Amino acid sequence: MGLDRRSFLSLVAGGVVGSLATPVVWKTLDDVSIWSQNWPWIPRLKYGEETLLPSLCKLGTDAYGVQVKLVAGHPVAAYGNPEHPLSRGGICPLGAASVQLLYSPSRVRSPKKRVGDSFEDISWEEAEALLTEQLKAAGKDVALVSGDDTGSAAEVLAGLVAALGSEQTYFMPSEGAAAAAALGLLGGDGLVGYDLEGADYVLLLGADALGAWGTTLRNAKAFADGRERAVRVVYVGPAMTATAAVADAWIPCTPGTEGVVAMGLANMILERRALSNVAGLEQFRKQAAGFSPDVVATRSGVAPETLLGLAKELLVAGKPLVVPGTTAAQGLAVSDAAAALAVNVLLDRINMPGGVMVLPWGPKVVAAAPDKKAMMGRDVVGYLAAVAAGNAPAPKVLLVHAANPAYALPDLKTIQTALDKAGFVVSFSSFMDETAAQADLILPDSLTYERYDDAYTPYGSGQANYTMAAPILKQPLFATKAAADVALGVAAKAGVDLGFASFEEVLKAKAEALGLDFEAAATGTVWLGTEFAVQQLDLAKVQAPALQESATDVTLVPVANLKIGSPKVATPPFGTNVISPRELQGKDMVVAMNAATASKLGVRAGDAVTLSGAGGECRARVRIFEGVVDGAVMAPLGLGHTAWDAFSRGKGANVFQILGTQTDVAGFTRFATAPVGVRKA
Amino acid sequence: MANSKSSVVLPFLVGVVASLVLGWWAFPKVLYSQKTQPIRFDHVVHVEDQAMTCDQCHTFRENGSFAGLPTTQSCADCHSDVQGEDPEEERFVTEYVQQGKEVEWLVYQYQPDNVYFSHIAHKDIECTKCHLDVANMKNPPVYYENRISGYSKNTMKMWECERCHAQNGASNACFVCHK
Amino acid sequence: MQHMEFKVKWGMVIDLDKCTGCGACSIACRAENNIPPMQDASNKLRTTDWMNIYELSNGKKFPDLEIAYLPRPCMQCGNPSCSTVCPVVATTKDEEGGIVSQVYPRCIGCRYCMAACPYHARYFNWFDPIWPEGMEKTLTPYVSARPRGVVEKCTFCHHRFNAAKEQARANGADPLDLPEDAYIPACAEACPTGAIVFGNLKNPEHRVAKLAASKYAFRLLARLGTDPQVYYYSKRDWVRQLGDNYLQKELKGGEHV
Repeated sequence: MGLDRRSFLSLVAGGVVGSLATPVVWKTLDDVSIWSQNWPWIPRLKYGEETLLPSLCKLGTDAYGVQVKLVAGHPVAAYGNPEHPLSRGGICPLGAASVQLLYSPSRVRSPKKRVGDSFEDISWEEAEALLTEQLKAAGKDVALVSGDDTGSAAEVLAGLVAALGSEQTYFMPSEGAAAAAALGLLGGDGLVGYDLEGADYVLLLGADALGAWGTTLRNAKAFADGRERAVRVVYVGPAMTATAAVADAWIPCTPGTEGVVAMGLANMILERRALSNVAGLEQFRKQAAGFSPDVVATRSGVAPETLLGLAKELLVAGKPLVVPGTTAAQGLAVSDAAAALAVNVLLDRINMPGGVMVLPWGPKVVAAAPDKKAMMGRDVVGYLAAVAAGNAPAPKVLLVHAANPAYALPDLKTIQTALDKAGFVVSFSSFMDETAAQADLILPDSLTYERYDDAYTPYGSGQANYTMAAPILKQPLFATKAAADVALGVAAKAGVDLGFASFEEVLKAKAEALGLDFEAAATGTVWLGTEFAVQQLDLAKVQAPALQESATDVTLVPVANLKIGSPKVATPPFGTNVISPRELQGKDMVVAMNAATASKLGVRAGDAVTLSGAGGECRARVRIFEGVVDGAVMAPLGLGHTAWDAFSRGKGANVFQILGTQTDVAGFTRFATAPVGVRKA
Repeated sequence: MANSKSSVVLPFLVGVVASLVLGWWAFPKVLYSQKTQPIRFDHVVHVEDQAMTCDQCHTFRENGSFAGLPTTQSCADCHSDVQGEDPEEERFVTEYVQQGKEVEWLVYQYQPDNVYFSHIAHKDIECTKCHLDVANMKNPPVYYENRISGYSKNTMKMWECERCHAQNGASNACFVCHK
Repeated sequence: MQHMEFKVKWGMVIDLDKCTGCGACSIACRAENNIPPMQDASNKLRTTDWMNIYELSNGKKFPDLEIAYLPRPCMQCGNPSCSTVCPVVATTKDEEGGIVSQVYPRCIGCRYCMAACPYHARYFNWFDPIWPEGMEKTLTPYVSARPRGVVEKCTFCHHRFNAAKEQARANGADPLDLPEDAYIPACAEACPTGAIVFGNLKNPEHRVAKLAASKYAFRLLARLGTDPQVYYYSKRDWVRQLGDNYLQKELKGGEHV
């Protein structure tokens, strides 16, 4: 008997009915739905024992302790360190993104040698041999630019360059250097610090203390504590920055005139308070007399009544503190810093609780290295400009460490000329930044979590402090090496004895010099100094800021913003989302000006404009924001990268490109603000 | 034609029986692939011969989290050298302890990443209520892996957790178990 | 949906007179909760920002302008608009503590909850998570990786609540009676100025309860009846007045704002 159609259908029907009584249909549906939620490209989580290890974050200009959470030995997140005096549990945007930076697509994963327009990966032996050969041939025509002004690694590198016979060792520009130079101008000697925790009235002359200035996290904690004690915080500056937004008052002033305001305050204080025991007082009084309220009002836009109000607040406060600074967190004029220091002197705030603290320079353990005071006292912008102009010999070998001069210096065209003139450019950068991208040799430094690192008294600290960090990872993720170890190895090959075989030994010596136990330091104990060098300051030496009318119509006010990046680091992968339409629209940088300025310039909200300055031009979009003085344009720093990776490349424009420089009355370069032309694009 | 009725019923019954057999017997055989553990771990040797207790290897950490399967490092506390004569142990020492590698154990109760389970909240319940009773086994049981979903046959599904929670007055709020 | 009352009500008070808009909270949130990095984050309709920061202003001209920054996590509303509309019950408010849950495998991605949320606190995964090579090793084990097609939102770092309960059990203490500092989300921990305060709104000893009871505290869009568990705090009148849509006559009368 064959299976006819009816039987066949009946068989099938039976099969279906039976299947419904089996798990086949239901289980298959359930399993398929699970399968559809487990695509292989969705990452799976890894579990394991959690540990918390202390380390440092030095990605910005600050240096503070963090704690890194590891799961089964892999770092997963960074948190603030409640025990660290410069963190007190908080973390900055860069620190919060620091663990993921370990795997940034722009990390340089092995030494690279330039071959034509691109790079060839080479071994460390070959790389170190190449550098040794170049150094031997260069003799004393070697220069160093380092951005690590708190760490011992820079001391090792500077020691190498100095031992080869060169004095061309520079730090990247910093406000700490300008402040120390100002203190030196007044006859003082030491690092400048501020006891923000002890003050009851803080007058910020341009210093964006809660933005990207100084010890930003500790500033924030001190500010929050101050709120409980009714500490009054006043911000004087051309723009409503993050600090101005939460300060008790914003006193708008023309860009770059904070020093003029300081002199005006000095003048008013001298009129109202009899002072004695201040060296050079009479000469200073004559200088200050040139800054009468009307003169200050014309130059800075601060009305006489407002200036008088500030002076009275300073005189009435028990522990006032005047802090100079800039929104760019660099390029501060030494004369402006000196004027602010002078006001603190008049108020008897030097080395007093809640005042300006003069801190020791810190021990130097690499004997061949220049003193930090000498190195900080040199102006890298001036040097590179001289090299570009042919007034100084171009270095045959230029070492660039923890710095990105091809991006983060003003008057970039001139800087680029200098870099082009330099013979053999070596970058120790961990990332393919703009300088590394044009270097002849890249010797990638391991990141802080992968090696030893340290920081001595970041600028702004109220007392001397020292933090060491031991490596968090058992070994670097890629073929990178600590720059200091590379330098020590190359030194030995080049016949230079720096006295140490490894960076760890250098740190042991540094700990010993401070009287700190190395093991304790390497596991997170922070050293705090209690010494403040007595100063004999002479106000006669103050060189007041220049008063001449500048002929500019519009001034550029660059604002450093940690979430966008820092001079060392471009926007990290986790930072892109936090950049708002107020800073970046599509691929255009957004600049802010008030309605009156826009109307004068003939531009409207959303217009594309070209900004032109001494250094070059760049494109931006206009945002109308009433938190900028008339005639000023606020622009975010940190955009416009041309190297790095897709997270930061090609977004916005690099404001450093249009910043020009001016030589300040005291010889340093000032560049925190610059004249700018604005026209519709 | 005369027996047209029976030629409908019989195939129908055949179909039902066949699909029942296929569904209940053949389907699971096909659906699950069989795997063995990378190391043939012998619980009996550890529990009986060495008189070890469960929590000597399957511990709670100080913060209350559960260490689960011990790491190679914790096994190495005893097994840094070969202790016995079992060739599997020797293989463990040479391929894992000495190389510093973790064994990729196949977890019978493997839960997806979106599930959160707190062992310490369940510490008063017998382990074998949810886990296979491996303590008495010389060889680890066969690991049945679902070819479609990728999960183990013994992975508990949500209804089992929910039922026990409901019976014992524990919350069945979503976030108690999901992440 | 039933309105449940809980013994503990996890809540936040965010001091807008302290927030500088730095973004550390937002980045710490991404790192903690495995939110994938985005190469191009300029289209804010496609980004995922569990903690989002807005800039507020008093609308005045120079030099009278004042601004404030407002960090906005999920409000964990007492009367959530989102969970009442979810067709598959992927989101509910049924756990002790009052955190509105979001279960990714159940979500079908209809985005009805996103339309319902008046705070725009919910985000849709338009894309599969792409982690740059190697960066997936930095995923925390606390929050599952979400595929495209599901909605997600801030959970007050609920995994830290679980961890705190485990720690309490290990200490022999009651997991439902946690001390004030036992459980705090990543954003509150990261904030440099300590603007974000977290704790149990129902415990009068907790700082968050004291701040929430202040006359300077307010909630966003409170008159919608959402009963948010996130309070904001500002001594500046204009900031509080931006918390809801007020008529001019309400403000002129010197109302409670």
